[in-house]
Amino acid sequence: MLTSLCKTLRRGSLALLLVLIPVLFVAQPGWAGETEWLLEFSGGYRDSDDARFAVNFPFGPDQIPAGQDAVLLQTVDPGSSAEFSSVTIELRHTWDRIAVGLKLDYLDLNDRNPTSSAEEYDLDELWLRFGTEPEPAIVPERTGFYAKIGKFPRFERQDDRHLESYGLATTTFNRLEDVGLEIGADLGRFFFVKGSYTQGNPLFMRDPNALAGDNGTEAFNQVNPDPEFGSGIPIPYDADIHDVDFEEPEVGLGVGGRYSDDSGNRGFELLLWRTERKLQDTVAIDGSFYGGDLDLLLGPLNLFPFPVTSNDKTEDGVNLWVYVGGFSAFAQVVDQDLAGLPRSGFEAELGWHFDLPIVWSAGERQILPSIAPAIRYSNLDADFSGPAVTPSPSFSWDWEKWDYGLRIGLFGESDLTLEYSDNSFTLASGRDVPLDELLATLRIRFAGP
Amino acid sequence: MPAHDLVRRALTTGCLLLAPGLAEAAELSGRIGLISERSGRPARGVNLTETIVAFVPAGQATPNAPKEPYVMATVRKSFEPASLVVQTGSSVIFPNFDPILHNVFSLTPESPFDLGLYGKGEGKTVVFGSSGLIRVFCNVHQDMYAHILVVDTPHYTRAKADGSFALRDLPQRAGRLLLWHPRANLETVQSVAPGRGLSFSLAVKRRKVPSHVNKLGKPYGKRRSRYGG
Repeated sequence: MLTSLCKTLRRGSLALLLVLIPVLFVAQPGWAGETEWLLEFSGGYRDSDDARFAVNFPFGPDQIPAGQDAVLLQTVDPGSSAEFSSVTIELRHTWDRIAVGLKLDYLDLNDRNPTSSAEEYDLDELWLRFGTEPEPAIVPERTGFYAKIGKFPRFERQDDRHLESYGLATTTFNRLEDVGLEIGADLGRFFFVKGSYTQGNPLFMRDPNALAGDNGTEAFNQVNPDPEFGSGIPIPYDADIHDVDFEEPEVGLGVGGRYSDDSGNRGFELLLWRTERKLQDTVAIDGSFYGGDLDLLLGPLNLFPFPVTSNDKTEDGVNLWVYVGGFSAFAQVVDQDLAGLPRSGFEAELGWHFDLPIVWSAGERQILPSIAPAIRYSNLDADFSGPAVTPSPSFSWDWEKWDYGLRIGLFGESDLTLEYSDNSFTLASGRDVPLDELLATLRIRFAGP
Repeated sequence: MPAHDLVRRALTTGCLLLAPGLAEAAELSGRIGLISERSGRPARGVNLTETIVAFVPAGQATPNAPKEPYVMATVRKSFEPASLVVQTGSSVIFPNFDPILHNVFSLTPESPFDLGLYGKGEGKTVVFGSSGLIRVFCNVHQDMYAHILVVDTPHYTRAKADGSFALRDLPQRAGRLLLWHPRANLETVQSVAPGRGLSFSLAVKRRKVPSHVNKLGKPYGKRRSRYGG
């Protein structure tokens, strides 16, 4: 744990220096700025379906877990469990048109796979921004420009989820932060362009449920392994970045339009975007003995490949945000070419926020100030077939997921989210298999100012 | 009867006879309707008793405002009353009857103010020195809103449910008539002489809950999951 913290802090310190040096050049005497901060503790209860499938790959006898006669793809942790998920610190400091942001996680089990077993501390965000970056569906006052460097969320990501879980499209394509440069320009008040030059998240695999798997961890690398958690039923996804490597950078472009009333209470935004990069032969994934990018698709010893035809990775997407008072909607369509393997994803989330009347209070704050029901549909269609023999048959399965949930405001910014994920996938044989999950997530939050 | 008594009685009688003519107060009354801007027909679902009618006689010096403050309280995450009419120079106190914190503010250029966060208690006072329509909000609770119409006259009233209104004890001269409803813009009708049977209409243009920004001029953060992600 201490080693993990030191490693993260060492990386963080270097990144912080890189981010802050430009600020020192432009800083003016008397700058005070404004700081916002958030400290969050989260934990939850889960109850997950138990799904398991024998893999037809010829694993050696030593690789088969004790007590089993085959290697299985299986639910990470079936049945009920309660866990302390994470501590998160977020900081934003703004000086007029310059801002810096930091987000640090300790042991985020929602990001498990495989990083939770590699690093208990995770620097999610550290960035410096010049200029003003409007939020989705908020019309800026005038033509503007911004440039952001560091580690930050991808510009096509939904940033105001109403549920703790993620949809299949977001999980697959743009859930985790990228490293590099992002620029944006508001062309008048209603149109904008965005561009990015980033490292690109490495292609790896994870179970799409909230509690993902720890693939290829040391626990699996033992003779007749007996890991605490199962592998999950993994899909290829854009994984977290831990080491800076611009060998095959990703280029992103977005164009869009937005409209809102002056309050930002009613508005919409439409974004068309594209990202592309070359997949590397392999990318080291912290905490896993599997490699990322093409290595993942070519199978063990490159002998069991998916039918890849190139090393190009492209995504074309359309996002829509709509806000009308307490109602919000988000939809995303993504078409991916993964080294010649076509996939597409769709996701739509509807949410409502209702303020509740005062019934109880404590410390001059309302207890139960709001409720926010939400529903989300998402799917992932893999339009390719896997090899006849593969350790990863689930890569080419089709997935569909409905999430139903209710976020209950508790006190201040703390809340409880109850949700049910009706998750299923279709085997190569055409059989549908459920992989449902019930989640209750408590977030205790302290924020300022 | 002494002669001077006769003169005094005659003068007194004459004054009494003349007085009603000299000091006769005028009345301005009529009916006001709310019209849907889209259809041009009478608007539905609007409460006419929220309509304010104020008369500002021409050439009248602004009378002194009442010394006692008006009261606009925060009760169950609402302002009560939701609208006030006050004379220029009046003070309004904003007591908080809720057990939670509120932050009453206005960004209206004529009278911007920010009372900061405060809990249950007497509240704070604001003096409104300029006429105009003041929009009042809470920085904590986006759905809280109220209006204060500050006018340079003591002659104002609210319409009845059928839209009828009457202003009495007015001076006998023309002036400006101010018409306002929370769902309409503030309208001024120039050179209106007191009289009866007047008819006016206001177009419904505004939403029930006015759209507005927080006290920093930014959108409320309710829709964001605190930095999201």
